[in-house]
Amino acid sequence: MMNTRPSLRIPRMLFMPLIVLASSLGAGGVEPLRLAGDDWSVPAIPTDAARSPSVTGIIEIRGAGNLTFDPWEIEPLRDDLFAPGHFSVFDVLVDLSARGEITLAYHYDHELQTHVIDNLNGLEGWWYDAHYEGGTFDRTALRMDTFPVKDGMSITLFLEDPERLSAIEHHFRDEVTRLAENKGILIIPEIILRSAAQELAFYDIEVISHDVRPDVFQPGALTALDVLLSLGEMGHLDELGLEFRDAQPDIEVVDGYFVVAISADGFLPEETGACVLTQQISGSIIAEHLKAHTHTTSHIHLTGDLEALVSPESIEWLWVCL
Amino acid sequence: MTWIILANAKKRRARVAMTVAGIAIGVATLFALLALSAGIEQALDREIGAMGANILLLPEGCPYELTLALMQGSDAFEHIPTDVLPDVRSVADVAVAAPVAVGKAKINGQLTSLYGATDEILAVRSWGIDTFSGAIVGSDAAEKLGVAEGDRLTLRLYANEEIVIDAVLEPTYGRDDTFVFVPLAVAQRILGLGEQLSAILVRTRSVTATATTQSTLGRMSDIQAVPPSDVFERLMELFATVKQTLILITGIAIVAGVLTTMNTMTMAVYERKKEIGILRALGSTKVNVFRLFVTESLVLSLVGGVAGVILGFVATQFLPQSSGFGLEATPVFSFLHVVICLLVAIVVGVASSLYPAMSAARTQPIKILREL
Repeated sequence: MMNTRPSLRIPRMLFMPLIVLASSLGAGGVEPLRLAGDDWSVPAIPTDAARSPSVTGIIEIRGAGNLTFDPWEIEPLRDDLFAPGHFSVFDVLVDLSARGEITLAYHYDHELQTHVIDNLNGLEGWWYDAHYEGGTFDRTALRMDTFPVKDGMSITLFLEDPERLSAIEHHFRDEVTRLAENKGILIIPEIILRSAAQELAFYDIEVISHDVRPDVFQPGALTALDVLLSLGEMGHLDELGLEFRDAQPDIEVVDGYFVVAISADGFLPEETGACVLTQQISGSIIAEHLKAHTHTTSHIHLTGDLEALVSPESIEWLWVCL
Repeated sequence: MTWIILANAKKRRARVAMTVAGIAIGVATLFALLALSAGIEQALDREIGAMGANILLLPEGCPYELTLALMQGSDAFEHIPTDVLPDVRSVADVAVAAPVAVGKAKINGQLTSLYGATDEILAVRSWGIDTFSGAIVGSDAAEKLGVAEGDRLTLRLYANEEIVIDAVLEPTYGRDDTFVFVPLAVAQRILGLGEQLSAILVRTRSVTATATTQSTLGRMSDIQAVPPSDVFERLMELFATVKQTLILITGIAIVAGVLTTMNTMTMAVYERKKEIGILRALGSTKVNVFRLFVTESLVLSLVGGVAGVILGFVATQFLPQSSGFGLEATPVFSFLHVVICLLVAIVVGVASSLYPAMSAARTQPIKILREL
């Protein structure tokens, strides 16, 4: 099912932080892809472009200061999700705890399908924010044990407003319930493609894995990019342009697929130039606790191929241009 | 003519009341929009002015979000290292560089904005206080926490501390009323910021030196130098787009008012053909009849306009007083807004009466009298 309707023009000023990044996008080491017709498969990243974290990282834990971690020493708790060499923000905490830098009590919550901090340094109610090099903190509501760590990223742990923390937990619980109701199949109730002047919505779309990033995730992992690829396979998209970028001017580590072109019946972004499609996972519970999408600079970097999904209520894609 | 208008209104009370209500709702929406917009502009201007700085030194990131966080007393997660302070103070035209650290902490068990600052804050704020060693509590915060000068506050987040209240501020009618100001080092410990700052408020030796000082400060690494006036303008631009949408909605309400009134007047012409025929037979000219219906419509619109202004005033008292930027904005009422609303009502009256009035004026008396 799909529906088109005109959308309000979003002031260009709001895009300013994004524009700075988008305008500096450079070519990557992998051939750009134009997906269309019947073939919506994405070839694996060549070995020389598939980097894993390799340099000492820094994590800020409020009250404890900036602590360092060695990526070579970290084992992922979610080895069902991460490929060897990759790990999550949560794994960094577990490593710090193992080294005695912090005291951490945690458990895996099956109802939320994520690891939860019970107590960190004697305090309860922690949450995190993280962004890759060149981004800014985003008020993330993504599971901490699915957010992949890259070299040069910024991570901060802090005591979250109890109301927001509760909303995040509620959002996760809803996702797990939805997934169970759909018998383990990822069906997204609402997908919106939005540009400055156009909006196209799809409803109840089944998403399947395309294993776009086997270098980062285990086979079968579902990512935000799979949403677009599934739409393409269903015939809802005419074309999708992907570009893998390993670096950008002033940003050493990018390593992600950018969606640089998209067209569908009723959605052909008229804006051209340095444009990318950014995504925002949302839902009725969490929406008011997210930053306005137009400010999510780190979504430029947390590209769709690296955002693991459970079963979100909605996902909005926004076409952002210089 | 007045007698005819009053008699007609009395005879068709329900329809007249509904027409007046239709216009009143459109005008009330407009009046409330004008009052709230002016209130938001005033609140932003007041809050940005109240910071007392010519230049804000902020961490890297969106300057508007960071400034709003500073005004709201929230932690924006991006910070400035304290060691940039000596470099900032060494810039020729920097008269005051007041480092601040803000965020929400549990104060006496209640989540409250904590504002850490040094003595330099006294040079950029106009509180009439000379010393700053304990806590200075905003008037609203003092009321919320139930504290007074000399009382002790318990601060808790990443550390626990107690501090004595030096003073409770007189109401400033801005966000300062909601803050608890404490020495910078205390705030940094409570907020777990270590040696980091949320911002540095800079006052230059003269206003003319602002641009060059901003340029010099802007070249320093890890920070951005932003004039508060720029932030104000950008936020107002942002608000303008929201306002345009609201004006569009108001316009639709007003157009609905025009159509309602036009419908009423057209029906009135149809129902009062006999009356029009007699008037014409008794010597009224086409112009007289035209004027009668225009005047009648104008009277209805003006009554609707006045009712709308009153309704709009009442409505604004019940609307949440927030600007959407997280700042409290009290609606601002002015005589100009009343004039604009009444002018709109008059335009509605005239626009909606032209067709029915012309239709009435064209009525052939002989034709009507034959039908009697």
